[in-house]
Amino acid sequence: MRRNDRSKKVTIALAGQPNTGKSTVFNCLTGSNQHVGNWPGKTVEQKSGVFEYHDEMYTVVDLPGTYSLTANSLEEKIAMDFIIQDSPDVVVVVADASQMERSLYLLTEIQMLSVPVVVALNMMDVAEQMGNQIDIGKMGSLLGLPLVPLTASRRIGLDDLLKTIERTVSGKPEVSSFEQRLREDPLYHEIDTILGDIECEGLSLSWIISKTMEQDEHILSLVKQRISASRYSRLINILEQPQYGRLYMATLRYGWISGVLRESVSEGSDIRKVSRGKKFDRYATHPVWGKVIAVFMMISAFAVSMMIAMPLMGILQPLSMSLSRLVRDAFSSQVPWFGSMLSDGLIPGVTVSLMMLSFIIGVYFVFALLEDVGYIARLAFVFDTAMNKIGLHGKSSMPLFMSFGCNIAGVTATRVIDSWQQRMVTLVVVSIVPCLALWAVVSFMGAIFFSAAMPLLILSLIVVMVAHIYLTSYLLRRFIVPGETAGLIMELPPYHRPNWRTIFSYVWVQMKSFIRRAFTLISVLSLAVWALSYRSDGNMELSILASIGKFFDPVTSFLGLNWRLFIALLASIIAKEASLSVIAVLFGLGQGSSITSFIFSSTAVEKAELAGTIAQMVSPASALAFIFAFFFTIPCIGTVATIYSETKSLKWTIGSSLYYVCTSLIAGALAYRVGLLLF
Amino acid sequence: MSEQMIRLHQMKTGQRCIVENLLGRTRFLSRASSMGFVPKTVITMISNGKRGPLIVRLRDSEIAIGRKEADKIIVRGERP
Ligand SMILES: Nc1nc2c(ncn2[C@@H]2O[C@H](COP(=O)(O)OP(=O)(O)O)[C@@H](O)[C@H]2O)c(=O)[nH]1
Repeated sequence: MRRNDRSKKVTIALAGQPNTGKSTVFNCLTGSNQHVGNWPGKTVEQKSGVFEYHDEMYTVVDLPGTYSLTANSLEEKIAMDFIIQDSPDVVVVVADASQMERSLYLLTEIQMLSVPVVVALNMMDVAEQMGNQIDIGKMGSLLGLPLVPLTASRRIGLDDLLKTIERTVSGKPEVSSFEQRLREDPLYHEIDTILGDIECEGLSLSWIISKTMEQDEHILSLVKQRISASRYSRLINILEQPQYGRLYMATLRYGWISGVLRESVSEGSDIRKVSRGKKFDRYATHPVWGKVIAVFMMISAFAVSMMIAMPLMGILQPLSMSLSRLVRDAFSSQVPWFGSMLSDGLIPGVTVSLMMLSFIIGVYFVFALLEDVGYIARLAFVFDTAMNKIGLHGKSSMPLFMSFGCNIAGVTATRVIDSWQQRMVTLVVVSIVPCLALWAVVSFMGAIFFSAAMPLLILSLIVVMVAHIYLTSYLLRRFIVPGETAGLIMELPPYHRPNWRTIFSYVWVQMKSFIRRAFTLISVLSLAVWALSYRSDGNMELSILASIGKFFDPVTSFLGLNWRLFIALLASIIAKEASLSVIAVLFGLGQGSSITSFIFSSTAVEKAELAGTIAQMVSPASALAFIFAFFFTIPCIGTVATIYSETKSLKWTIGSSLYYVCTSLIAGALAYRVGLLLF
Repeated sequence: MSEQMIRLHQMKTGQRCIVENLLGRTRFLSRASSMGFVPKTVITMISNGKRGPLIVRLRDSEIAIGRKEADKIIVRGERP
């Protein structure tokens, strides 16, 4: 087949409000030829894909799903900027045939950007079930745009969509009927005369005027810079006339939509009939039952992920252990360091990545499922009030809860959050939550020193954790990702039967992206840690890592940590459980040539004996400091890698890691001072 | 049955009302109007407990809205 050269590729931008089936349409068009990356310079995910039709290559760019196009949120700005600056050959606006009034709103904005537009009216099957009769031909001519009926979940209407896209790309953009309607409006006319032929960052005149009518702050400030003060004050005078007001434009938009629908749609009487899951929804949004269901869902989500991962882990661990031994033996006589590098550095690193991957597949799967079915919005709804108290939205509850099981799952879960600001805050906050593995170490150390006072210790850890989360969330929102929110106004989308094709393709694409980023990072990090802690004689006390620990002695002694405990703290970055093994080695009760090798042998610690030794060599205040520092330290390598794979940003990954290190040291130091007073 | 101006969160479950006006800053207004809240919109209250956000139905969609936000929406409806 002949391939056209890249320059002739046609670019399609896919726009649409959330829950209109935009991802489903995207999947239908591109199949598995998808690529996930970030929008340039942003930590917002961008999906794009390619397909071929009639010997022509097409690139599809999935714009963030937004309800409107303003400069209010990053997602909206990204969508708008792409349409304006990258001027795609065609914008396909996906609308929901069962909720046309609302989902066509975005169209009234995109039309103003003077790009060729195709409207894909999705969910036709749902509209039919509701008994709605849509006269597509009539509606298309009333809209003044090519209109294609679709049932994306069953791939009905795709060919028609492709044909229409092809036709629209080669043809001229049509003047939409909404634009014509607007030109008759008195306010539009008045603003038009005041603005004259204003030039504004490549925006079309009708866009500028319509946004001025909306009193959009961003556009008003652009306009202000470009017209004389007297003209600007005349403009404001007109805008402030009582018959207009700030909602005038939105009312015009809906008025036009209603007009179109009135003439082309005859509504069925049985709207209720298709409202799937109404009964369930009464419980799912109930203030008490809703929370019970949500917690149950999250626990099952975690359990399902574990169930998928467990068998794979069971195979992986012994497999790579024997592989590791094989490699070590093969090299032991000639180049032992090389053998150790492979067997203690690279192989454990890759094994951890693979184990993580098997776990994360489950997490991706469960989210894709809950999201696809439409449940996530309910979960967000019931926890919104609670989450508001720490400056977060309801959707942050899912990542936070999952994080108690495993931080990796928590970080991954932040992808359900649609607002960039909220997502970044949650992503950082989530790792403050202690995972299950962390408790193993805390309870071991705690039991040695504070047997009776354990409940008190745990309580104080939790109190500090809540304060930490609160403070971190505040600091981030205040200084790093500022931006006010519009409060809670959220769609509760109708429930849908899961579409397995969408779900599996989502898991597949995300998995590929994860492998590319997380694998590399983990391998590099575990090799680095290996290099720092390797000693050919197995005496870790003389390793570079130990010297680093000793070098920082003045600092760590401020926390009451001797270098041994400090190294154990550092080791927790490989895996929380690894700390115990490292403690065992450093306190002379175990052996190993590198920290990374403990990933395999973390269970082989003589706990009773170790407890005795530690109790003799460490003071209670130091132990307290260690526990606090450990509790809040940088999450494990897997979580760090996941932060990288989720944000695709080294800046955020390193920044958040450093932040955890600092807060952990502060927590440790404070705990030490308190400990000195207490004991 | 007399009609009067109240705030959205003062509506009881099952009642219907018509949006009269929206208060607040441009940011809120643009968000609210893109979700379907503009004057003359018919709203049905789906769920309004004593505390926590409300659920309303408008333009064939169900929308959850916080109490604070609902307080900025003036509606005309049946006397509560
Ligand atoms: N009945 C029906 N469901 C659909 C159709 N298209 C998508 N869906 C379902 O609608 C839900 C939301 O779709 P999705 O593509 O995730 O929406 P997005 O939020 O716009 O990306 C999913 O459960 C889809 O399986 C359709 O044409 N008919």
